[in-house]
Amino acid sequence: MEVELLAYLPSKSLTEALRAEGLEVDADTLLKHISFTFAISGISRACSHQLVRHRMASYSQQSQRYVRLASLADEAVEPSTIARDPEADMVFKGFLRAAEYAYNRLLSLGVPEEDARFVLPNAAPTNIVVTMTGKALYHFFGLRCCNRAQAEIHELADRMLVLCRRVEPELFRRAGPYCFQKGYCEEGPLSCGRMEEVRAKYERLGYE
Amino acid sequence: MEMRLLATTPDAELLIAVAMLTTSSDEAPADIYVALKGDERRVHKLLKRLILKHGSVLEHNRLVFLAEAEEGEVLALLLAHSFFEVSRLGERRWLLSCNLRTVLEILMGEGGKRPPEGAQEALITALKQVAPRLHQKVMGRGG
Repeated sequence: MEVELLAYLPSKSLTEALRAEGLEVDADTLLKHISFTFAISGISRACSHQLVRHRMASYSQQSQRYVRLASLADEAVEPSTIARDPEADMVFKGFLRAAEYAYNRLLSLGVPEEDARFVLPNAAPTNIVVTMTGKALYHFFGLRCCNRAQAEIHELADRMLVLCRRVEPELFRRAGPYCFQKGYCEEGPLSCGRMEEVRAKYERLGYE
Repeated sequence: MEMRLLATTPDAELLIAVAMLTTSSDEAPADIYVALKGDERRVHKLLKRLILKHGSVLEHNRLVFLAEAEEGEVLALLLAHSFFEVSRLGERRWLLSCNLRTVLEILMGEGGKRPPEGAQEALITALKQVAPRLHQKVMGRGG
C-alpha cells in the first residue's frame, strides 16, 4: 500500500484571508471548509469498498473496465491472517491462480474486460484518488482508526492521519478513533477494551 | 449577494488530470502526479478530452468564498446546489465552500435552478482564476 497527500487547502491561507477581513473562525469551521486529496495505490478492492462507503468524500478509482489486470497472483493483497497460516496461504494462492486463469481465459475468448472482471476477487489491487474535507476525515478516522476496523483500512486510516498531522498538526491533534476523540468507546460489548493503549498511540502518532 | 473567492486548493487542473488518468491507467496516482507536474501541455491536452458529464474528477479541490448575503439568498444558493458547505460568520456574512463540480453544474444550469444574483458572476470569476482552461471550455460552450 502506498499513500501520499497530493494536495490540500492550507488552513493558514484561509485564516489569513479571513483575518484581512477582520474575521476569526474556530477549528471546527476551518475543518468544514478545507479539503485534503490523497493518492492511494495497491490497496485491495475489499478495502476500497469500505472506503467509498464514506459518502461525504470524492473518489476517482482505477477502472476494471478500461484497465486490464496484468497479474492477479502477483499483485493481489493478502491479509496477514491468511499469510501467516501456511494452509490458509496455500488455499488463498491456489484460488488466486484459478481466478487469474479464468480471467485470462475469458479475455482470450473475446469477453470484454468489463465482463471478465466478474471473476476477480476482493483481493484484486486498485488505485484511487480520495478527497475529503477535514470534518469528513475526522469521521473517517473515528471509525477506521478503531481497533474494530479491518486491518487494511485501519492501516490506511493511520497513514492518512499521519499525513494530515504532518501538514496541519494542530487541526488534527484531536483526530483518531472515536474513543480518542470522545473519551469513551461507543462499541459497547464489542469494545476492544484497550482504550488507554489506543489513547497513548493516537496522542503520539505522526508527532514523533 | 456579494461573493468572492478567499482560498483554494492549489493546482486544481493538475489534480483533475491526475484523477482522469488514475481511472484509466495502471499507473499509481502519485506517479501520475509527478509525471504531470510541470507538464502544462499534457495537462491541457487531458482537460480538452474531459467530458464534463463525468464530474467526479472535478471534485478533488475546494473553493472557499466569503459572502455578504441575506438568509434567503444563501437558501437560494443551497437550493440551486445542495453541495455547498455553509458557516454563518455574522448577521450578513457567510463562509461558503464547494468544489469545481458544483461550480460547473451551477454554471451549466444543471437542476434548472439559477443561483441568486451576484453568485453566478462570482463563480465565473473563481472558475477563471482556479481553472482557466476549464473556464475556457465551459464559457466556450456559452456557459
